[in-house]
Formats: sequence, structure tokens, C-alpha cells
Amino acid sequence: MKMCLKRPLNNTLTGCILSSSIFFSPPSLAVELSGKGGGEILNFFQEAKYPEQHRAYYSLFIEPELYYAIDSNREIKAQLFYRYDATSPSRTHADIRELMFYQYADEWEIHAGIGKVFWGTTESRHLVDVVNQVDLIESLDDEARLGQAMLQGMLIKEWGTLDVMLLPNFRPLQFGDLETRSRFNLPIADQAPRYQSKHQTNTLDLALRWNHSFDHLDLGISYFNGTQRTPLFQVVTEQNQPKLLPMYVQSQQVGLDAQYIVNDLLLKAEVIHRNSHQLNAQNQFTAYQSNALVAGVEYTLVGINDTVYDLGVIGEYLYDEWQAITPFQKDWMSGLRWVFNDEQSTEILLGHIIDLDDQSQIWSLEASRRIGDNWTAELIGRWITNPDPNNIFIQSYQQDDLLNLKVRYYF
Amino acid sequence: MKPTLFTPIGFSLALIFLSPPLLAQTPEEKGLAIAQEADLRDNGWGDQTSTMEMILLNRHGDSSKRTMRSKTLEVQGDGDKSLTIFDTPRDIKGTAFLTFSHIQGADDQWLYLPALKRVKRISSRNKSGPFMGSEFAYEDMSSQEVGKYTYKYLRDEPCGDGLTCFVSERYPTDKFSGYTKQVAWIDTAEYRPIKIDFYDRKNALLKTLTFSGYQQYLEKYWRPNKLDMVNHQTGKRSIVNISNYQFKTGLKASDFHKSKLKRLR
Repeated sequence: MKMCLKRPLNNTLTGCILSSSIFFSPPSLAVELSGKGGGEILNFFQEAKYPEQHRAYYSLFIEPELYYAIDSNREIKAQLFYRYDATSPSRTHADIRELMFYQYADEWEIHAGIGKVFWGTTESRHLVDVVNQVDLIESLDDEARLGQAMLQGMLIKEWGTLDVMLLPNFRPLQFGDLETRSRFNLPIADQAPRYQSKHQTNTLDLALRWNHSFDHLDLGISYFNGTQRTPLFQVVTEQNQPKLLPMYVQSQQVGLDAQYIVNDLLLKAEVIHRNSHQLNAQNQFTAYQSNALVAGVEYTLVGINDTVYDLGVIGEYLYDEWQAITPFQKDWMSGLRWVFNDEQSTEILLGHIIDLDDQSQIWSLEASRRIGDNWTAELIGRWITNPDPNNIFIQSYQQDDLLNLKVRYYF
Repeated sequence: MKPTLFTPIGFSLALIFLSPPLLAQTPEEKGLAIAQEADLRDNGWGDQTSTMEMILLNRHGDSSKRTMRSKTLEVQGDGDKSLTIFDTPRDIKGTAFLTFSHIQGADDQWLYLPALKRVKRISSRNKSGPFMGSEFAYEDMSSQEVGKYTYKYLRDEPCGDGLTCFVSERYPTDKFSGYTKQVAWIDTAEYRPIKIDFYDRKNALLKTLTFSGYQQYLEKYWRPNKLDMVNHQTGKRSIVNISNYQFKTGLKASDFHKSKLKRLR
């Protein structure tokens, strides 16, 4: 490809270099600043359960991105995140989402720095996607993730793509304080989390993933060895009060993720086996094996009734043997996605998760659209029906039905 | 060498078999021959990159704009491989489509969502849906191959700028197409599409696409710099302005890979 360097003040071509690497399209500028910022209102329908909590939370966020092209095969990307919450001091937080050097070649890549990866196929839960810790303060689900330090090598071959990742510096979950909503019924302990590894957060984890496309099948196989991102909780006493102490155990996880296309139907599955640890009655860590699965379908009706609207129907079954780390032992998620296919990219997503053991249910309604060329608005509602008094997870979300308005400006 | 008795007979037999039966052509054969000739004339460009600006206009005159870059690799014997990367609107900046189109059956298509760093394989069986909220359907944007239609030549007629056009009907072979038929005006001098009428599943006129601003590249390949799609049923209109055409940039099949979508910018 011809790489043409432009003078900053006019469009005269000063020289065109023939580059042997052809893929990367030369950006118009070597350095580029972009990103988004916006405001958010989190409003709850019920009175707060705890005196420290509020009815509404107001916050602002900014997420600038800096991009620097060193040459056609090397680049640096940075993405910072900062939220200021005027109502809840502990929701004010910052994170380096990405600060990564990338080196590209035809059949391999090297990434070094802080970044994020996404593994998997399913929508309701991301079982195999264990590289990045969840940003618990930021997300109502587990979609927002913290940046993870990594050295990543990638081979892109005829037989598939192989990722090898070394992950230094484990990042524990960041919990909001007593004024955040929703929160567990017991407060999080003030003391530092408990780690099985004597190196605590100063560990070096390993992650591998192979993935490939075969005709109608996309398949991934992954392996993780290190500190399990999802903690266990131990009840401890602090200031004569029971509190929850997060514990991070060592774990090996083997995962398989697949998606198969049959006409307009997508069949999706993620399966994992964990070779992990739990705490026994003697307060010692002992080996614990568990399996988990998410499997389901997504079907899209294109142009319903000769209109331009698409309707997507999603159904996923969630199963997990390990009760201590997840509410999704045996659940079913249904989703309806209404895509308007208009200039504003309007979409409405209705989600419903039912616990198949006790029939507790979580509903969500998400509507989003673009406003003008540079703004978007998103409205999210979430509510609980039929809560079971013994379902600890549902209990922490009870009386916390919410409406969340997000307005974003892209620059 | 002494000419044998067989040579002239063999030669004339070959002539009979090879020469197109110009006089005895049915409208179906002539329609197909025009499509094949257009395909032949556009064969061998290798790969192509361009920049596109899409302007969406509604009945009230409100407009919104998308900009994207496109990279296409010519594939002999099947549909082309293509990449489309969005630059604006800014909320979808960096979103990329990778498509392996096929003459028969569904294309293979992957979508890259930069905010999630997620590569998602998507269903592309039904290509009748709108492309990014525009009046272009996915099937209008995908690679046009001879085998995607059956043909029927109708007539020759003037089609502006002193040009004469072959007018043919073409019927999609894909049963998931949003059209029962298209009527295509192809100019007789250079075999370029000048205008296409699209008929919906009820066989009513739905849209008209007009091509203009043709320029020739590599002394062979004609490319338009403007596509104008008007929806007669809704009054909406989408205009695509195409610039920065480059050919034989050296793109290869391995560049069109789902693992490389995040490299695009």
C-alpha cells in the first residue's frame, strides 16, 4: 500500500513510501484524540434500605482515547476512564482501560501494556472471559471491565489464532461503600482482601486461547491458570459487626466457546471446568472442582411484516455447580431485541432472567438511540419480581428497582 | 506441413460451436450474455480500497451522515472478500464488518465492536435488511456476481449523456432476497450499470438506484463516484459519495481475517 505523508498545512504530497505490510490503512493523522463523555442519573423507585443510601445518584464521566501510529505496523493506544459521582463518593473512580503498545505482522502480533480482551459467544453471562476483572462500580451486569496488565503474543495461522498471555498484577474487585446502591446486605470488610497466594496481588497469571472458524462454526478453547477473578466471601467481625471479606483463590480453568449458524439461527455455548479452591471448616483452602455452562439460541426475524424492523429472540440456559460465587445455578434468560434500523440506530432490548429453582425473576428494559451526529441516549430499567426470601442474591437487589439514564457525547 | 482434408472441416466446425448464436439468442440468453460481458470487463482488478460518505435524507429533508472505508479483494469463482470500517457517526467509530460473500447461499460475516473488543459472527442468511439505517439493503452493498440472478433482456434505449443502455430484468436466485426482480440499465459502450429499479416482494416498485460520475481506473475498470438510492414508497433517499479509489494495493486473503479486525482504524 502506498503510504503518503501529508504536510500539515496543505494537501501537497511530500512523498509516498511503498510499504511491504499492506493491511494497515494509514490514518490521516499519526496522533488522534477522541473519546466520549457524559452524564448519568441513577434513580430508584423505592426508599433506600439503608440510611446511608440515596434515592437518586448523579454523575459525570469522561473516557478519552489517544491513538499514536508509530508506523504502519506499530501503534500505541490509550483509553482512560474517570467518573465523578456527586452523590456517592465511592462511585467516583478512575481506571486505565488501555495503555498498550501493538506490533503487527502478517502472521503474528505482540501487545504489551494494559488492555482488555473479550472471549466467548453468549450474551447473558461471560463464563470463559476471565482475563479482565469486572468493574463492579461501573456496571449493573459484568460488561464493564478493568484494564489488565498483559504481555500478549498472538499467532494467526491457517490452523487458527493462538493467544498466549502473561498477566502480572491481579486486580481485586472494587466495591462501593455503604452509600452505594445496590449493595450486599452485609457491608464489605475494611481490611484487605484475603488471598490464597502468598504473593497476594503480585502474581503472574497465564491465559491461552485458540480460536478458529470452520464454515458455519466458530470455536474457541481457552485455559487460565492464576488468581480467580470472582471472589468467595467469608463473614468476619469488624467493629462488632458482621462483614464480608472477599477471598481470592488460585484456579485453573479450561473453557470451550462455540457458535454455530443454521440459517437465521445462532446456536451458542460456553462451557468451563474449574480446578479451584474453597474454604473448609478449618479455615483452610482445599481443592474444589466445578463445572458451568451457558447455552442458548439467538434468532433474528429480518423485516417483520414487510417493515424495516428486525426482531431478535434470545434464549439461554445458565448452569453453575458453584453456588458460592454466582447466583446463576440454574437459570433461564430470555431476551427480545427490537432493532428499528433507522438513522438514529434505535434499539430496545427486553431481558428476563428466572431462577429455575425458586422462580425469583429479574427484568430489564434497555432503549438506546443516537441524537444528532455526536450524542447518544440510553435508558435502562431494572426490576425484580417474585423474590424468594432465601435467595441472597435477589435479596440484595430487592427494593432496588431502578431507572438509569445515560447521555453520552462522542468527540 | 501439407494441409490435410480434416483441417478446414475441423476449423469450420469449431467456428460453428464457438461463435455466439447472435441471431438465435433468446431474451434470457441475451440478458445473461450482457451480465457475463460486464463481469468479464470488470475482471482482474485484484483488490480495491475506497472511502465512502453516506448521506441519509428523510422526507422532511433532515439528513445524517456516515463515513466509512472499504477494502475489497477480488475472489475468482466466488463472491469477493470485503471489509467495511466506520469512521462516523462517532459512537460507532471503529466498528468493522468482514464479509466473505458467496454466489450461492449465505455469506460469512463477522462484526467487530470496538467498545467491547468483541468479534461477533453474525447471521447473514437474510440480506434484505437496511444497511446502517439507509435505503441500501445489505444485498445491494454486497458483491454483484453473475450467478446471483437469472436474466431477461427487454430492449435497448437511450439512458442520458448520449448513452444507449441494454435494459434487462434480473431475478434474484437467493430466496431470501427482498426483491422479486430488478430492472437494470447497462450502457452498451462500456457495460456499466447506470440505473437499477428494485421491485419488492409484492412486485411493486420500491427503489431506484442511479450511478453517476464514472471514472476509469488502470485504463480498464470503471467506477462511479456517486450512488443515489431513492425509496419511492417512503420518500427517503440515501446518497453514497465514493472517493480515493485505489487498485492493486497488495491486499491478500490473509488480510481479511476476523483476528485482524481490531487492527483496523
